[in-house]
Amino acid sequence: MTAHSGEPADERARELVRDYLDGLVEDVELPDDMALRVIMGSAPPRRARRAAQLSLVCAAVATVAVTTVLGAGIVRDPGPSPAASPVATAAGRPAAYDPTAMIKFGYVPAGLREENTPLLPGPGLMETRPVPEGTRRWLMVYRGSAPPGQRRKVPLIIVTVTTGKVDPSATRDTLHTLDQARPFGPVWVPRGTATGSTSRGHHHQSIVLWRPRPDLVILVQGVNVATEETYRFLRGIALSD
Amino acid sequence: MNADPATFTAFVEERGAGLLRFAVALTGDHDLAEDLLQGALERVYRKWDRIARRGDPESYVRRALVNATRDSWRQRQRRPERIGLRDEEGGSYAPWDEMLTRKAVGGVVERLPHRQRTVIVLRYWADLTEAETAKLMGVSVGTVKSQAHRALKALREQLSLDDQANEPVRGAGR
Repeated sequence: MTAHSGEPADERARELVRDYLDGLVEDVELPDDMALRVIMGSAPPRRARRAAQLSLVCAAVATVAVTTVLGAGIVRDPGPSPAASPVATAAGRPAAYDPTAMIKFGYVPAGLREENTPLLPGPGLMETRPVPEGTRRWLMVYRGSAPPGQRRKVPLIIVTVTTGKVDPSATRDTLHTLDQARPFGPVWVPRGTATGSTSRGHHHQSIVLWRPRPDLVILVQGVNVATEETYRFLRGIALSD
Repeated sequence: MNADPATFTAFVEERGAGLLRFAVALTGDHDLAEDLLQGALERVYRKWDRIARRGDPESYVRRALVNATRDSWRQRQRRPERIGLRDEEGGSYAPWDEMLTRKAVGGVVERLPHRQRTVIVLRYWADLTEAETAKLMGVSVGTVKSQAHRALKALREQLSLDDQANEPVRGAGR
């Protein structure tokens, strides 16, 4: 190996790799029945589990990553507020519009604060398919503090708003899988329709896809937040036409 | 098969979690890692008495995992790319800025060629020596050095570390 002028950079790279891999394995737990599975020669249950998994969103977290972790991977500020950006950025997609002015968040669970305001536009990195033509996505995140000694249990509420020619079921189908998710079921909302699910994987998560009007889908994802609180947050959203 | 289930079970209970973490680090995929570990353990169990007599069955499983990861990586190359990290899939939520940094690093690591990824996992995460890494991978020490060099170069370039060596990447290394 040739000596590199950036030895500190090499050390930094090693440190980042270690940190990344430590994070990757942090919550890994061996299934209690692993030895039994081997001895009995049974197939890994995860294959069946995977087949039953529902497609859910994790898009919002990654969307922020896309908008803030630029090409080189160095974290930067999210940039100028899109609210200050001309709505005309959606020009050419006539069915998509800026929902910033018409959405007001009412109830916010105690301890959570706005991560970025107002809604941020961004691509849906985590989706398995491109954002459908004629739609546009916006992101909003509320974040709390992790309990002492559980620094990875950060409570989050992530809101992804899609405007334009929105099909909730198609939206749902493009989302990523979540461990141990329950089937989607109806959720009461003051207007329109909503369907939701919860997951009790490593972190408690609740997802609700709310379609208050035909050209708008609001997806609320609560992570490490009680399902009731996520629903209350959802129902606290006020829409003006 | 003439294996002793009791000693095998004790081995899995004692070493299994570490082996699963090793597999997750190698693959970046918890489910795949679990599958590969089970497959490796099944092979070990078939020859358990002999392997246990020789001592250090853990090394045998680790080697099997490295080989299995290589094979699965080849298969995965034929599949459509799957975007996303398990970290967000009901896995871990790190503090926000830390997560962003990890995501950036993870993006680079996940795109590394299999051998480069394996080398950096073994050298910089499992803290194996170059010789130990070479033995586990069945390659020469020179290959380990060159693969590590290329992996670090990719990380430096894609994370712009050469330009930012003196600036901390926000959220990393806590």
